[in-house]
Amino acid sequence: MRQVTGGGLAVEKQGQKRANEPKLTATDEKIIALLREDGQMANLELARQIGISERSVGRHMRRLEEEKLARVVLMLDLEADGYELLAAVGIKVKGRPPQDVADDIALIEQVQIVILVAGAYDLEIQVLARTMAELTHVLEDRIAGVEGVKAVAPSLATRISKHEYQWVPFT
Amino acid sequence: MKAIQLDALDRGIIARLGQDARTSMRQIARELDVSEGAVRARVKRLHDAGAVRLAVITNAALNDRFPAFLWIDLAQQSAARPVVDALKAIPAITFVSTMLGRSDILAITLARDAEDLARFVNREVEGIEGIGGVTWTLGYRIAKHLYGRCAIVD
Repeated sequence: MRQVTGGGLAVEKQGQKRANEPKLTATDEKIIALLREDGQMANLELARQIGISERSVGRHMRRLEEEKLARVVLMLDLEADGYELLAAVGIKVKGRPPQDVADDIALIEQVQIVILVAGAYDLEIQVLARTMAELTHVLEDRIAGVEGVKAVAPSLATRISKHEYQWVPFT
Repeated sequence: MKAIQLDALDRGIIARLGQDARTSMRQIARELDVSEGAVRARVKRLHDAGAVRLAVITNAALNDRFPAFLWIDLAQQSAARPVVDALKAIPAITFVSTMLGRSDILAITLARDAEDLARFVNREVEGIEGIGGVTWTLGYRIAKHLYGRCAIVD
């Protein structure tokens, strides 16, 4: 599978167990829970709340980072960045492996998420656009033009009430 | 929220903190060749405007679950608000939005397999008053997943 990295973009094959796969320890889980409440909490405060030493917190944080288990990241609000439109689009594929179609669609800048799915569609994707013209361009000129795309079923988010990313592939 | 002006320095800082939000201001200042005070001021402005938030992400490679998309139709249109609130309150649901198009509401969760998802929908979702029907698609591979932007709600 194609690997694309940079700009927070991460593509990774999932669902395959690596040998000696690193796991989150109970302490890791506690650190993550506290950082979910306050991402800027200092190591000293984390240590105090969990009841371990500051050095131990530092060690856990380094391992989370080095083993690519978890990280604290800054997320930018869609509207603050001028993105008025989020479309969730189902795609039916014909005559070409869905993975290949997914890889081609993943190259489109406005496409944030591409997931191979089982069900009424072959791919579920999410597209961000600043204007309706931009969205129309992406759907009609870019995605519909990808070889193997048989049908495109868009829907538009009218009011997003919850938007969390907790489990995300990253490299 | 209204769009805010973001110049090249703002974008540079956002990109750096988007990779690791615990990077020190001093480190970012050094990398972007500006003063630490400038970085601090930019970050403060973004936080004060409510334009950014911090989140902890855990690597999906550790997880044996995949995104599942629940396409929900309402029994009657007027019921959207309570149904959205009920869906939002379920911790396993990470995305909820009213929609124009394929369904009235889209909710996203994570599921191990079809059985796991069917159970979840049956136990937690279909019983919510005001829901007319749920169809779903279950992911089995992630080809691309950016996480730098999201709707900041509440």
